[in-house]
Amino acid sequence: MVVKQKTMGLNGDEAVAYAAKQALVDVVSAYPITPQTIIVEKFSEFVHDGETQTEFVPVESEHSAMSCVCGAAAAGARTFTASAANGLQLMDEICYIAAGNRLPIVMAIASRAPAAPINIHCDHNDSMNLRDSGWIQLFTENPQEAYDTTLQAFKIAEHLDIQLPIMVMLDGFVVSHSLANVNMLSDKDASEFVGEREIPLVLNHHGKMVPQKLDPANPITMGPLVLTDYYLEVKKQQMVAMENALKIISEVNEEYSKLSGRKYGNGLLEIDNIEDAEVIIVCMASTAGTARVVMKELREEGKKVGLVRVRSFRPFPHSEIRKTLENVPVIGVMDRGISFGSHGQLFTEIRSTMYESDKKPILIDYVYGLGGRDTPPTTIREIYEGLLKIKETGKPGSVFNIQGVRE
Amino acid sequence: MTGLDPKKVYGYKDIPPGAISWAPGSAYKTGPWRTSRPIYDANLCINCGFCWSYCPDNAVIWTPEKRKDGKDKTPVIEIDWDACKGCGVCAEECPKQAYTMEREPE
Repeated sequence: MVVKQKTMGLNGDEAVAYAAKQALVDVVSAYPITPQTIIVEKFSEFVHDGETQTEFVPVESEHSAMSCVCGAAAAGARTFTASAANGLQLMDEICYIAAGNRLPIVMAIASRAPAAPINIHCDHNDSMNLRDSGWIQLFTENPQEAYDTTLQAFKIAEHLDIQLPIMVMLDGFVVSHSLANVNMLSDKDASEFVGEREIPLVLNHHGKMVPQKLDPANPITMGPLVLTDYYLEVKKQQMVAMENALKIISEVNEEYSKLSGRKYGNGLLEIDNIEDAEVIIVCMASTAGTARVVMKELREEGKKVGLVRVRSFRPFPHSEIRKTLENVPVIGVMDRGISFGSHGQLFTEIRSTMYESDKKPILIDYVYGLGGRDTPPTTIREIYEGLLKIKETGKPGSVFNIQGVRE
Repeated sequence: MTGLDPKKVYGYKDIPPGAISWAPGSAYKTGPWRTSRPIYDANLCINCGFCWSYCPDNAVIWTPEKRKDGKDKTPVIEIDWDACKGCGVCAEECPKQAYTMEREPE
């Protein structure tokens, strides 16, 4: 049964702050950075006004913010932080430590281009920089999804089969600062959905099963030196947890839809008009919203176009992607990130996945919108029309393109 | 009592997640790392306990009550040779040079 909800006019950042509050997070530590600032600003208001019991720890840098939530999570607390771009890069070292120590921290990222040149606008290279750090990475499309996904994130990260930190991405300014109607669960429904943080039992050095948290009554050692003899096994464990996450992300998406009436594909991918599609665009985050409008216009014009939005970038849903894409002749991948000397990160991933398919669709990479370059419907239409032309002529042309770059 | 047996080799399914220590630090012998060993001279020792407090491996076993008074020269120090890795901090910190470091045989 779908529960009664309240509609509020919120931007993406505020929506995330409300979700963190409703998740009854124990400890928040953060350092302000545009375009994430509103999240922590709003949260500190909640703390000041006594709307939450959360321990709010203002710190002197992002490195300390991540260290602080690591310590709190290790002590068994539910934790939350937020960052973007250069701030996130300053956290880098501790992000790997959070994942390796299996600390289920939730972090919101208002996606922003890393300097230099200094820029504050939307770009996915900040979180792509942490693609290999062992964090779950979910990309959201709009303020509503940012709210919903933040609530889901606690449940996913803290799941006993996962125990990994998670990043929830919302596009800087496009989502973080854009006002939208956001349907919010009641505090009671939200906190019941998330539940209390369950602490797994772990074998300690005395051969006793004890809660996996720092507790003087049951001491354990976290983060010891692990050299050539066991490092590989610890990394394999992280890989298994990521594989488990594929299933849990879908389950949590399903459970949440029963409560809220809102569902994002199967939690991993959102698929539109794929069955008879001749060409499709694969993209992430807010661009999917614009692309959906253009797709509908083109469908009305009789063009067989479709859209796939990747919601879960880590873990990457390889087999779902392969099954979804292998019957489409021409696929354009839109990347709001770039790996210099290679391609866009999403494209690299998808092309690698499609090698496992017997069919061989034409795959083209369109890097777009770096540093917040506007991506209006006309840009998406250009890409769709280019793909339709490739379908017609069978000539793919250049595999790698930077859409709209001036010569 | 220890967790897993440090002498055995385990797979990723057996060890605790996140590399939580599954055996106490004392299960790992650092004695074989030693290239030189501290030799203790009870006649110079004034029972101050500096060596005991500075030793990074708890390899100095100090029993101060073995001496009746300040003139008593009974040895109060024993070394745990499984733990002592021969770093020489005891010799460095001793105010009376009661330790000399001696090369271990090759």
